[in-house]
Amino acid sequence: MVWQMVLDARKYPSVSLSSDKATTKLGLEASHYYTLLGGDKSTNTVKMRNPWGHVANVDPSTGLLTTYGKSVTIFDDGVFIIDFNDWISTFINVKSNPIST
Amino acid sequence: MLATKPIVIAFAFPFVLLPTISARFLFERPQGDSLRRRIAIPDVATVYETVATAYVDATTNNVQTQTTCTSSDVGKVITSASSSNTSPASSVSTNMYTQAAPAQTTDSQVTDTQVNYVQNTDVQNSHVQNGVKQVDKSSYSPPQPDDPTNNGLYGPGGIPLISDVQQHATPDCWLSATLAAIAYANYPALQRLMTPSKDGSVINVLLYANGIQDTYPIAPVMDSIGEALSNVIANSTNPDPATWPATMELGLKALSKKHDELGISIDLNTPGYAETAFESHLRLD
Repeated sequence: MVWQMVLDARKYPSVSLSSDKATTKLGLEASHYYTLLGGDKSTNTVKMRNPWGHVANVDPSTGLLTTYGKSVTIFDDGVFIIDFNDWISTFINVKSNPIST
Repeated sequence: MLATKPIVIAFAFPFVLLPTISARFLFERPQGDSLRRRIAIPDVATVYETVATAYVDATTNNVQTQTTCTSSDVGKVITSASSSNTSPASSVSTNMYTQAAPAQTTDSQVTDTQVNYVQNTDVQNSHVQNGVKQVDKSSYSPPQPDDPTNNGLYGPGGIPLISDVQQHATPDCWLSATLAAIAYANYPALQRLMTPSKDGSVINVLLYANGIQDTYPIAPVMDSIGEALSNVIANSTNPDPATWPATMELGLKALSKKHDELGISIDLNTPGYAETAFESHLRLD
């Protein structure tokens, strides 16, 4: 069901709230809403975006999250991809609005 | 106190995580389906007001702190529209960066029980059928890209983009992330919510709260720079910005002002909930 919601994020506007441990566990901003963009079950990854338009705690010399030793892929404009298991352990909820045009 | 029709949010998934600390939330368990739970909420603004301190995980009863919704400009003094974006990610280009292989974690936090769809099931005014918002497409005309009054609102392409959302000074991640989500998955909805007047003097922002749908006329954002809202500052660094995120912030602020007169307020500078943002956009037609 969680996976389905991740996959539905492309058609249903969805956000996810990080836990207060997100900084220490992942290097992501804690207690912060992120936009959920989707995921890829084949790679077991989730795609998100920080509404700041950038990902915090990035070491400019390496492009890596400074306090995070796991897999993360960071794109421009605050978009990043993390492992599904990391996401599910660090984010506390998903909210989705199934409005339709 | 408002005599409003309650907004009923039905959660399609079991044991949802949602603010439940107040007795003002009236839980009901539909007969024959113990896994589904409905929550009756007086109105959008009240939802925010009520849950502003803490909430209880409906499944575990663990009290959890709500989002602090940190802004990206903590401690930054905003003095003018020329404030620059000193994002540490400014050096991050479209190249991607990859670290080592992930390690497994065991303390799962996002579970099926904490996932829910927000649905508006207000019977009398409902346009939601089978959980899907129904929109009367004949009742509006989305702004066109070549409309001169639309350029500032939606940018050169005339279409709201997720990249237009750049939360800065105002800690309203709950709103900014939601707006970005709508831009990503359903941008026509935003075009219906914000329409320039014919003479371009105002942007009419359509929002929903307290059982009613209202239009809030907002001056073009560049004229409202003194409001210093989150996305105004962000857009100020762009020579050709899309101003719809800031316009929506101003619209919600206008909504809040109206309802504040009735003792209910939504403060963009304090933590909020995505439900509030979603709910304010549900009544689109």
